[in-house]
Amino acid sequence: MSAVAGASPLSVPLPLAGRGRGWGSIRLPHGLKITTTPTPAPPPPRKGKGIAATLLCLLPALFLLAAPARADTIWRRGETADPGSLDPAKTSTVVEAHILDELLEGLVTYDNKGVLKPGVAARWDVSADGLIYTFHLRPDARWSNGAPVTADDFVFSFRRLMDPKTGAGYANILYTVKNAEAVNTGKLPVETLGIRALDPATCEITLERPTAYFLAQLTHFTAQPVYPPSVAQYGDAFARAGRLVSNGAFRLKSYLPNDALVLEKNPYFHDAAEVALDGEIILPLEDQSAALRRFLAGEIDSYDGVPVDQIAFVRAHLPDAFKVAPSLGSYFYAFDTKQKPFDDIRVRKALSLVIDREFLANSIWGGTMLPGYSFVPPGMAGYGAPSTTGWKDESPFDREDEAKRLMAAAGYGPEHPLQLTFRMNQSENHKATAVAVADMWAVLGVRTTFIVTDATTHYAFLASKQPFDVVRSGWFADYPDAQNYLFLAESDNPGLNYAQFSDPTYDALMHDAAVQPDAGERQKILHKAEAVLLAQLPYLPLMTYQAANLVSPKLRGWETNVIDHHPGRYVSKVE
Amino acid sequence: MLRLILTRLASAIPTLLAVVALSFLLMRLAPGGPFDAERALDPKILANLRRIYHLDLPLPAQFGYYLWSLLHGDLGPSTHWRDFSVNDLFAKALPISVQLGVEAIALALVVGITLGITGAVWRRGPAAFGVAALSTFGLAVPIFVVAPLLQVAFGLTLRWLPVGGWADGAPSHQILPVLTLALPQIAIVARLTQAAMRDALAAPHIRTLRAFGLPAWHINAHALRGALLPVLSYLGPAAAALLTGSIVVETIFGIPGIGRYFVDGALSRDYTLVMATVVIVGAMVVVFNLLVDIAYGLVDPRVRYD
Repeated sequence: MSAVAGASPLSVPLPLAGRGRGWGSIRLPHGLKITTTPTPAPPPPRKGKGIAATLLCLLPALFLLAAPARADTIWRRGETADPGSLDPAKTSTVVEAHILDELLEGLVTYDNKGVLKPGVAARWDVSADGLIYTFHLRPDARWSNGAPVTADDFVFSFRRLMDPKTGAGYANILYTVKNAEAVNTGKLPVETLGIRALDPATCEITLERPTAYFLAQLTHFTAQPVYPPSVAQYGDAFARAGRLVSNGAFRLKSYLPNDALVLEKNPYFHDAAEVALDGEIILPLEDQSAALRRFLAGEIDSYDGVPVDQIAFVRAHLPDAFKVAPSLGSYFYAFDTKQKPFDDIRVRKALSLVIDREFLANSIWGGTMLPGYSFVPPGMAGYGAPSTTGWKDESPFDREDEAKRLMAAAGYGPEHPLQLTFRMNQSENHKATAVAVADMWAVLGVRTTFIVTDATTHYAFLASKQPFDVVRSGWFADYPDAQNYLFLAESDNPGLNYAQFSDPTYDALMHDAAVQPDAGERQKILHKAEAVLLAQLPYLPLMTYQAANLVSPKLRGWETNVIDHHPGRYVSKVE
Repeated sequence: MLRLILTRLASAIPTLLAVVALSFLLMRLAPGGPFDAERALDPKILANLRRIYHLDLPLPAQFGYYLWSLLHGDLGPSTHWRDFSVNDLFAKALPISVQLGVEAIALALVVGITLGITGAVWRRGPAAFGVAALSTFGLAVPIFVVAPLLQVAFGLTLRWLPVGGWADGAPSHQILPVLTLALPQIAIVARLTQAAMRDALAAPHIRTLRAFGLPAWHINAHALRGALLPVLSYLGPAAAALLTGSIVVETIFGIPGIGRYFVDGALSRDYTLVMATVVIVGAMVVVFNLLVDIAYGLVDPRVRYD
């Protein structure tokens, strides 16, 4: 299929032909034409009715313009938010990651089933000690202007990411690369970073220590390349339409914030022959109900969210389009384990035992969540089934009795009820969940007070390390490895260990796992660590997220997968 | 007249400065900052970012830095839309909000004044009832209800108009948002016109005209001139509000205007973006109030600026 030529019809402004006098033919976007018989010119309008008459004549023209006709091979893709940036050193959100995956290709990447596969690197060798990765780049890797993608481009991109002057928010994901942390904190020059080009087609990365999940990390946007000449020319403002040179299956044609990103097929992409789409229009749609209406009207082909209060409607009316699949996200509460009485395992366990997770997942969240009894969500690559709490299958009554016994042992009961304060960020679903949980806790005599703030205030409070009782929290994997979950409880992870959990056994297990070269052994150690976490419960697991998507049956090659990753290069569209 | 314009513009400068200073302080008082998000940043990385955006400076220095940039017409970098400056964002979004706002005001004036006159001239009967019903509906039903209803009716059921999107300002994409924006304004303008027109029709000079036996349309035209004054006063702040966009309409219809920047900016603590919105709204209020005063001089013979 041919690539969209320079003069793509995508952005042709809609002309209002005819001006109410019989319009002959109207050119619709995408080059389609609707031809109509000219209507006789209306009689000369009488004074006072001119405006109304003109308006009446205009109306049918406008309705025709709105007719849902468009080119077949453009995927109109609704996303829940606008990207804050298209610079892989400055992105942070899931939506930004989705869009960057269309534009940029790292050394390794994922296919539409969520399976790791070669990207710019055709193959790679790992040294026996697991410290040195040598990537052999594919000879046909090209930027969207036709220039070859070289090992030096990756060296440049990694150095830029770690350069403190860049201010990359997620640079610490790749602190696994040798000297990365020292470079990022300004202690060493960028040239000392553990990446070098052996020749234009060979890139060598040296690690700080053997890291079993390093390849998975390389799929993260922080490891995606930027085109050095653009950065040299435009500085930090290179990631705009008309400037951004990309090496993925698509390239950026235009972008109006809060409106649309228009992507066109990159003719220089090494797999361009297999890319069926001519382009994508990515529409940031914050209002999920409005997005659902646009989907129903056929204005978008897919949307990565479903309003929870409309789940029943969607299930009933759009069974073919509604795709729900487990994803690598957990919904949990965190206890301040430094704070009385939440430093007491008995209290934490009692509060966990009485929660009816099936009710939360099915009734509050309309089945878009799964009940969560583990900390690591199910489906993590190589990890197998996660460890779960031992009491998962006990009857609710036994669990309640056990919880009451634990609370009594900790000194709480009907005459001495536990009073706790729960903090969360503003959201109808979070509120409904918290109210239900507080009601479940009430059987233990617990009295819950809520503090609801806007999201920024909530996260700023968590970052401030002020004492609290219980907070709402959650986590989505940056890369699919159990370590990316379990590190939330490491004592030397002050930024993200909201529970202030500190346990030498746990830290030792996590360290053992980090240096364990054998993949199977390493997963066993991580399982042991998770078991410690579930016994101690610094975090109270409630649910695991599922990705809910609306996908038109017209789209082929769109597959559900745990990383909720849907690259357009595998997608085709039929009418 | 020129003197009025000059004095008003001169007094606008300290007003705007006070607005800027106050909102600068209020934004900094809000808990959290532009880099507080679900995934907390490493403190070392946070330090890098604060340095890059000059947030590590003491507050007075930050304010001075901001004012200095502002005087040079630079609204600063956006911390949320990190590939753009606030100037870039507003250059694209402001014309869109202004366009929709102007269309909504025009519609509100044409329809509202017509309805108001109708309701005042035919005081009883179905016309007056219709006007009363429509204006009550427009006032009572909030736009976040009206907008989805219009989407369902015209976009999904009748399939006449697109449900949402901007599409480079295609006319069909503007009808529902403009209608939604205009509806409450139509109601207010209709009520104001109707009440003022009733009073005007009962005024002694109109009675005199009637006594002379002038045709009805002539009498009504005279009454309307006086009746438009309350509408004119209302128009100043209303225009400033409409032209600077509506978060509800822009979010529901997916319009890339500046209304969303105000709220999104405040929620994500994008200081420069919020400040820019404040400056623009403040300037619009000043300008429109001035325009209203000038128009008063033209419409009301009792007001003359010499």
